[in-house]
Amino acid sequence: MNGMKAHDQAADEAAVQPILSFDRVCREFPVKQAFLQSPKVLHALTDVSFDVRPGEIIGIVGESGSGKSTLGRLALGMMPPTSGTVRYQGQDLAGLHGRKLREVRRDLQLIFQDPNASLNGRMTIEQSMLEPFVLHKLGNRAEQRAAIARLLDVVSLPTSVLQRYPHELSGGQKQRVVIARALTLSPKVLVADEAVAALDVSVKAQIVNLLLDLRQSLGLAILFVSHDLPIVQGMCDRVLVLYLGRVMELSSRKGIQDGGLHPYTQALTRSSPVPDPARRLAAEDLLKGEVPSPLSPPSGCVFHTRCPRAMPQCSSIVPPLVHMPGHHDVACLLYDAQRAPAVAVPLASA
Amino acid sequence: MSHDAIALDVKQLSVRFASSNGQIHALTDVTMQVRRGETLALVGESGSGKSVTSLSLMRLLDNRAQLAGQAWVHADDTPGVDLLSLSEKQMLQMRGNRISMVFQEPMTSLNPVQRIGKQVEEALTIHAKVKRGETRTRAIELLGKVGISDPASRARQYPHQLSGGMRQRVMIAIALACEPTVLLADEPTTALDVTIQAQILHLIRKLQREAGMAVVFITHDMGVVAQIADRVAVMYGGQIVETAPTAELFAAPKHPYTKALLDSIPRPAEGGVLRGIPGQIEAIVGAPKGCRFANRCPRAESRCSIEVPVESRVNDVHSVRCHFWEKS
Repeated sequence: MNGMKAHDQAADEAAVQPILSFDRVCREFPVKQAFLQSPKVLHALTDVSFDVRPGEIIGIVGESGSGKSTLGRLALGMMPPTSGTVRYQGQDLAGLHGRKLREVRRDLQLIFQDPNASLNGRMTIEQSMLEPFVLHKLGNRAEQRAAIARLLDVVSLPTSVLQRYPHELSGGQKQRVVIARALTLSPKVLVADEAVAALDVSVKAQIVNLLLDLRQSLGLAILFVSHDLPIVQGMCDRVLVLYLGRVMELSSRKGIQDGGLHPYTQALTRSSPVPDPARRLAAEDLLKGEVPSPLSPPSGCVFHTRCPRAMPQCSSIVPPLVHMPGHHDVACLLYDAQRAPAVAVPLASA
Repeated sequence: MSHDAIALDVKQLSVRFASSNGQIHALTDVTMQVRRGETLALVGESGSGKSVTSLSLMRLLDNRAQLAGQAWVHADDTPGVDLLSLSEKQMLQMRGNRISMVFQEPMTSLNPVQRIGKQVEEALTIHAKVKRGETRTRAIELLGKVGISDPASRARQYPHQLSGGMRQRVMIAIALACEPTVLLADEPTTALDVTIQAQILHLIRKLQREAGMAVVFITHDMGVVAQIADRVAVMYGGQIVETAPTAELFAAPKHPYTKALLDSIPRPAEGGVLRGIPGQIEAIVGAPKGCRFANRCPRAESRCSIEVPVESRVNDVHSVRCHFWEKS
């Protein structure tokens, strides 16, 4: 398998060093149970490996409980992994402390779903935007002011918003303020955790375009965490599909647009409502049941309980990531030449 | 009653609120009809008035809201009633019985300290639809019908023991307990994962077909509209700006706002940059002086900000509020 990878990806991987890399990362959380019951372990993320290159937008897709938000927190060094390593520019984030960690954190920034929760309602926009300067003791008043004006310009807001309070702005404007503030310290990596989920469609498109512009002009790498497959397919260079904390598929945009290889990605694609009244979802396209509890994930492939193409061996073997042509990795026995019973044929995309 | 009889007939519904900045015209002259067995999607962004529409039909708005207009519900065995003219006491007889509602967030709609079976039974007993002693069986039957596996033991669980999708199924069971003529579904799938959303959309379609209900489905997601609606009413600034059968609306939209809304849908095949709509929805203080969309409209002319566009008929089933729809 390593041979195939070398053959496929050696050239461009050697050319660009990853800015952020996940190496066999696991994250577990102990969950308290009732009195006298032994605590259970929630497996939020299991054995996740991938690289982010500078200026790359990676979509992290999954449903509730897939571990996508945990992945975002790990990428920022907000919590250490239980095992495995998260590296930023080659340094292990878990090994950094104090001043060194603060320096690295300047380069890693986060924007959340709800701009109302990110902005203090009792502070003017200017006060909120001054915070990063104060915390990192940067510049004098005049320099700060100039920098803020520049940042507002980047996100296309007039300087008149500075004297206003969050409740006087619309949702889209607030999210622009949050993005501008995240850019204050010239980060290299931005984690956008459902950053457009709460916005109206027309505003959503504006913010997506803004993020694409920022990548272009500032060379930002963006981890775009989202449950919205159509948006991810439109804007991301590569997409990582998670289910119950495990990587199902890591693909180029093209691979996902074609419907993906993994049965879960395919089901996700089919379930996303298509804006075309002539193509309504058929009953046979529905996934059965619900996502199992991450407290007791199914054995073998975690998706086998809902998978329309599950085979007997799926409940016992954890499928390894198989490298397919076109920089496309998939964790499914259908594509594993040694274990699959027949030659795997990708389903026609929905 | 035949399948194409009108079940919900809303005539010139207007809602105003007094505020310190002047009167807020939350709804202006909303007129719509929904037939039995038909799904009308109300689409729009925040502040377009789609939720105010459903809340005013349920008469759940604050006393300070001034309502005008009529909203008739016609069922086959009884004479029609105008919901807006009823007293609160009479309205109690209508809610759940003739007109029912499913909200976005099932957790806030369910009682957290009561078993879900009891909550379904409550809906049945209030309107005395089922003989006492039979409510329990009927509640379990309803839970099974909305796709809850092992309904007898699930009925003894509390809302926090269920997933979001399951809770929404319970809400649907409660809403449909008394076989209402009209179901208002206000963003019922927005808080759910996509694979669960697909299941719930499918369930609503199936139950509607069986019962011949009229459904008003409120959503901001054009993808969901395409999946579920027979007809679409696009709302903007408290008005319906365009109504058409779903296929026709997607294929030949006439209003510039509808076009912009359709253009801002991410279509994966195209990739890259999306088209948004510049600007944002205007505050709806005071009566409309012109077209509410004029300040964001790519083809607005001076006439648009001084003259309120009237509803024009594109054909028998398609109407639009725009001065320049013929030229687009």
